[in-house]
Amino acid sequence: MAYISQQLLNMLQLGSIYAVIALGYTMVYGVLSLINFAHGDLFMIGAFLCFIATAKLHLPFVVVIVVAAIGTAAIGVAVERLAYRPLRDAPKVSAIITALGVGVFIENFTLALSPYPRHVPSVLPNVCWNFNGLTVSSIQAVIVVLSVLLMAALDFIVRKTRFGTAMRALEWDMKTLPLMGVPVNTIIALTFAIGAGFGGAAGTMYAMSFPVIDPYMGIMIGWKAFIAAVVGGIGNIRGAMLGGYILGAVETVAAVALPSTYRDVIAFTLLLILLIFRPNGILGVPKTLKV
Amino acid sequence: MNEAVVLSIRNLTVSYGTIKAVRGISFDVRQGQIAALIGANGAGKSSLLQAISGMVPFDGEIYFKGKKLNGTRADKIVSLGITHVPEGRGIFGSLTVKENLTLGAWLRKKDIEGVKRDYEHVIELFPRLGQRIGQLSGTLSGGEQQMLAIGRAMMSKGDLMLLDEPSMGLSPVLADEIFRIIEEINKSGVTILLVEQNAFMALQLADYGCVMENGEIALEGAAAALLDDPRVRQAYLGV
Repeated sequence: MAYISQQLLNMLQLGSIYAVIALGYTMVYGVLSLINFAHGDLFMIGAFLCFIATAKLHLPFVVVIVVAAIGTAAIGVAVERLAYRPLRDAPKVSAIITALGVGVFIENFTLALSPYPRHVPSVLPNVCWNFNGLTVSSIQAVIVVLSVLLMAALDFIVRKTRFGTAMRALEWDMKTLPLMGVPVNTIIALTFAIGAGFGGAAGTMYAMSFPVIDPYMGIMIGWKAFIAAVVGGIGNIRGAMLGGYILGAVETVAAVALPSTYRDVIAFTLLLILLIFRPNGILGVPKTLKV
Repeated sequence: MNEAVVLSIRNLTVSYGTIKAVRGISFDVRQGQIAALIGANGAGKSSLLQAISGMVPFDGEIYFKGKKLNGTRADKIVSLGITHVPEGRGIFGSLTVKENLTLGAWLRKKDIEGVKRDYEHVIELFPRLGQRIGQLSGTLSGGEQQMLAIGRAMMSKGDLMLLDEPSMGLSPVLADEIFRIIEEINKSGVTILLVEQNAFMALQLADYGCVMENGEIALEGAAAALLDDPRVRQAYLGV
């Protein structure tokens, strides 16, 4: 019983990180119909900002996560402004190639600055609580609670605020939205800021859980979070959250039941099978319905 | 005809690659008027409206209340007082009726009282929108969507309203209803520039009319005179 609840907690921890990253993919796809392949690398930037803020600047945890999120958000906005906006009316293939190129650029730029893997010192006092045999570490508790708070805040912003209404309208029809007086570029920049900021926060949470970081760490995690977003229904915010937790659960079960080398094979196979039956993802709606 | 010119179009050309949709046309719309642009499909009417509201680039000049609009972004043009009810209605189908109306008032963040008053006025004018206020607007009928598009434009509180084919796809009864509303909006002081394929209805409502053919103005003048013009009667009214 304690073993099962321990694994459930692992699912929540891993799933929270995937879900927070997946939101970045889905938000950008929602407004621009573009897969931001550099998003995994923004997540990596978040982890490196966490490293700088802790190892070099010795900042307290709350400041670390704010610095990582805001720093990554700023880089996300710069990527949109410099790389994606000039190509907004270009063929989709060009935008996708640009996104891949931006990712490779960020990886190699980071590699040039920091050629070795880095060890992130612990940001939080590592305390463990015991509930009837279930051990909860302070890191796990912070990751799960913070992720849920971030997601609840985003859900509220998207559904209830002026910005959220404009963002949803932009997803529906980018050409008509300026006729309401809405500055479309500002809404897109804010969307990138939130998506990348979430990526940065996730990078910090990841570095807290798995403290050895390197410039290529964002590739695999990024692909997985992207798949989580697709499974949930790309463009759908609650879908990305759901997809993240499903992926976390599948990976944890696969790691428990089989040799660990099988983990990714099992996870991806299950996700591919799911997509055969739900090609638009679990909560996704086919785009043609919009016409 | 002595009212001030609100909108002045000078030598306007709109091109899509090598195709010219609008070929160097000029005309004026005066304060308080209803001006109608009629003409067949592909005559360049929608491109003209899109140029005015900053949605497509153009050559020539457009002046609104004496201010040159060339190079002004679409969202800034709304803030100058031009609202545009686009072709195909352009409602945001994943948003509720209420959210669509709220977006129309995007620029009036500080005018909470005024927005509330206009919101109530729109609901009063279109009771059917009031009944469906929490519904996703994508589920509305074509007529209701047109009402929503016009109501949303009213929420922007502009001085000039551009309407692109508001009767398209509507039953004659609904089209009459929409035209009655347009007349009412005009009476509240809003200048109207109306694009229509239904030439008869548009010219009956309008003060002034332009007939567009292949991107050029073929005929223009008082709407009543155009209704009697044998060329208009033969080509557009089928009589």
